[in-house]
Amino acid sequence: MSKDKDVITCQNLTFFYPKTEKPAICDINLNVKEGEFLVITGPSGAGKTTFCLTLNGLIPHVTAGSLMGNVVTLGMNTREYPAYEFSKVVGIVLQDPESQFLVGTVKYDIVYALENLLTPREEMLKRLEWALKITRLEGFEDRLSYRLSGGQKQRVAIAAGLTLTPKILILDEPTSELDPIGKTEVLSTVKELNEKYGMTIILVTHEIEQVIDYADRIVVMDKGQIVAEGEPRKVLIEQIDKMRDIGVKIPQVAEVGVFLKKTGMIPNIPLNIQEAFTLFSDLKLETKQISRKAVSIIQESPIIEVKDLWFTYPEPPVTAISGINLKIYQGERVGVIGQNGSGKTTLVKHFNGLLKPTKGQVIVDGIDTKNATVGELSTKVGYVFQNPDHQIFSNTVREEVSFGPKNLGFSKEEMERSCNMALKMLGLTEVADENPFFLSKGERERVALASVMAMKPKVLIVDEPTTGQDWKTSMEIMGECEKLNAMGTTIITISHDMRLIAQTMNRVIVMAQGRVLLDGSAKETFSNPDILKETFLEPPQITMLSQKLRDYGYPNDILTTNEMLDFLGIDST
Amino acid sequence: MALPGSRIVEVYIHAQSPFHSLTPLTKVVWLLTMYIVALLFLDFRVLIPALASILIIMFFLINAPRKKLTDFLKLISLPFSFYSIGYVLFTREGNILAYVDWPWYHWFWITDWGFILSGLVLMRALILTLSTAVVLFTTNMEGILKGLEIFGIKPKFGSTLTITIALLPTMLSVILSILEAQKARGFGWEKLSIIKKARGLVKLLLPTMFSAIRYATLIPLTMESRAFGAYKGRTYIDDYTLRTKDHAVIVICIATLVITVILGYGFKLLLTLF
Repeated sequence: MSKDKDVITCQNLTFFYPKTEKPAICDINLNVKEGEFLVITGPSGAGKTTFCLTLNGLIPHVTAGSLMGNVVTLGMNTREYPAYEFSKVVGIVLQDPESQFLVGTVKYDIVYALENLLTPREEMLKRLEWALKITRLEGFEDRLSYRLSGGQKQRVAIAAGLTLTPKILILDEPTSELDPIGKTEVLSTVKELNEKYGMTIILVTHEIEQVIDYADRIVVMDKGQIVAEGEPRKVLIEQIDKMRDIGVKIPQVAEVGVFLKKTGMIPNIPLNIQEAFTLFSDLKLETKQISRKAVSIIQESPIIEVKDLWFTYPEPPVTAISGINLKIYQGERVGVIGQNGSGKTTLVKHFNGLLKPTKGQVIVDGIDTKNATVGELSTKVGYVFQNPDHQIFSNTVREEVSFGPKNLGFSKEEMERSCNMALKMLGLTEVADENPFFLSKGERERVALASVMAMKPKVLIVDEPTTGQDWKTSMEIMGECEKLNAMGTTIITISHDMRLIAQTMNRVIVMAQGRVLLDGSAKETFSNPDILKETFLEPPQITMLSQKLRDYGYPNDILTTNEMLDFLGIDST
Repeated sequence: MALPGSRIVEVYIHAQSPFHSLTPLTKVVWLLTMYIVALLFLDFRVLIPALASILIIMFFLINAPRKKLTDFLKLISLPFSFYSIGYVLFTREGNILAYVDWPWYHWFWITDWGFILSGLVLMRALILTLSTAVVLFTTNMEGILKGLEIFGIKPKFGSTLTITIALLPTMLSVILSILEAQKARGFGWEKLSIIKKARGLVKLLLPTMFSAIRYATLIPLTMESRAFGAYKGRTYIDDYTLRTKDHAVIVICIATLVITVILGYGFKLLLTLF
């Protein structure tokens, strides 16, 4: 294997989707070397997926549109060969796992491509076993793919890509729905494929923090163009402000490092925990007080009380919740975390009555959810679902936002007032008369949030606000939630993004196998790495760093970059 | 999570059973035997044992949950009842048992042969439906693909069918999450009148269509990237080699068919057939 040989050459690549005036990708020139680990990052809608689809001929052969320029992959011009020819040498794992289930059972979905490529049965069995082991799916081979949790589905898609052992493996946000340790495991496997088998890797991700040590090169895309490209360290150090501005999630240690370097406290910007440890452990510390916002919670009677909750899904019977007891108070910001399939969504769906307890009770604002309809409970608990497109159906944004208040019997004036308030809060007033289906994904996400906010619920549940979103959009959504929280609304967020949870929640419930493993403040939770590990979680990068630096005088419960800067006595404004 | 209506789309029963373990070829031979018997003979002496054998297999040899079987029988009972009653009402041959002679309507009568024929066609329809159900309950998508290949249908076309079936539960879960999202915003389908329900369907159809279009654009990407159509044939991860029990079933099926044809039509027809 030679890292000098180009396996992919893109020349002046531009692509327009049908009936669009703006190109999805514009004038891209890029060569990928054999055995290279290339990371592509950028905000949502930057053209990353479109670019990936051009590399193995899916564009122009399967996806319609107008392609200009050339892509030559392993010596084959993508215009001249059918897409299936590339499938023999280029594997691709797409972002949406459900669109990758072609047979419906885990085992068959994983080996589908191998069967098409006439692979002998014995070889298929070997590769299946290997892929199942790597993706922690052993024992799942006969399960129906669509019945798996989001993370498990993603593992099936990854396993299907891995079994091909192609020369080039393209992974388009393959770990967005995985728990943190799941992400690390998949990425280290990808690295192993790269190092051991010389496989060329092209990985699209928002999580540079996790791949920075693996990547040979990083490409930053925005608005269809490459805005930065090069060795990861160089790109990150030189373009950090630009990257942050366009919505790329910068590693926390690098964010802190930028400030420290500016003040001359450290010579370089660290990119990973080890580098940060080396640099930060040498600092002479003046002990500072970390400023944390005071949280005022009325603890008289809980807004949600869960008493010995059990829930079993029928056919086949699967117990998803086993004896949970908890109380949530008005004004709290509660993060619910846990590994894939730990019962997080099942638990919160009890709060608005979408699921009724098999045993036990859920009391919401004094009402037993068993005796109330979802409609009745929707005045108390609003639920923002993961996929905004499942919630939108009206002709205009205004109609969409007023749908909930109308169902709840708000008067015309009240409906208008709450609708305008929600539109204003989420910056949607200007697009109020537009069709929501034609808005960008980030805007549609905001429409979904506004349509729930307009119902003025006492509790707002936000399910996985980061999935398929860039960091900037995710933080904007959480910023709006914080505004509501300041007005007294209780916020409950389910997420796999520990950084987001640590940054925005004041209480964290850790779940594992349908039980509550830990329930405490964000500080308590994230200073318990051993318990988190039990459920395949790990603290945010900055917290892990502070824990590592404990012997050097650092507190072990720093949750955010601002807290670290506070502690180091640096003004982050 | 089990979805409402998922029992209909989840036809295959994942279980270990004598019938599950047969190869697709053996199942095809058994199915063809049942089809031929049902279509060649309109005779209780043949149809009753054939139907009884299918019911025994269905209830005792495929290890299916009783609820699934009773649900399925409930599902087919209504159309089959109409089918059977139709024969009772519209058969003209036989001895008349009841007669209607209104001035404006005088061609309606019920005969004894109408009853007999209705029983016979009902049994024929049950044999065709239940034998097909037994095969579908015990054969996964891969097996179906292999089975279609036996009938000369290329994997490329067979895959289109299996992909469509595989997508049904996904679409069902999309519909469920759309309904959940609407319920969570206070929209109660159960409280609406029929007219409002019909109008409300737009609220369900729009996002469903949106998702369906999305899947329709994404699935070809997956298919092409998974070497769909790279070669004319395909290999299978499951072992479809015929074993002793397969040979035994095939021999029994062929012997049953030959004996039934001889008993029913004599050697002459058999000679014409073969």
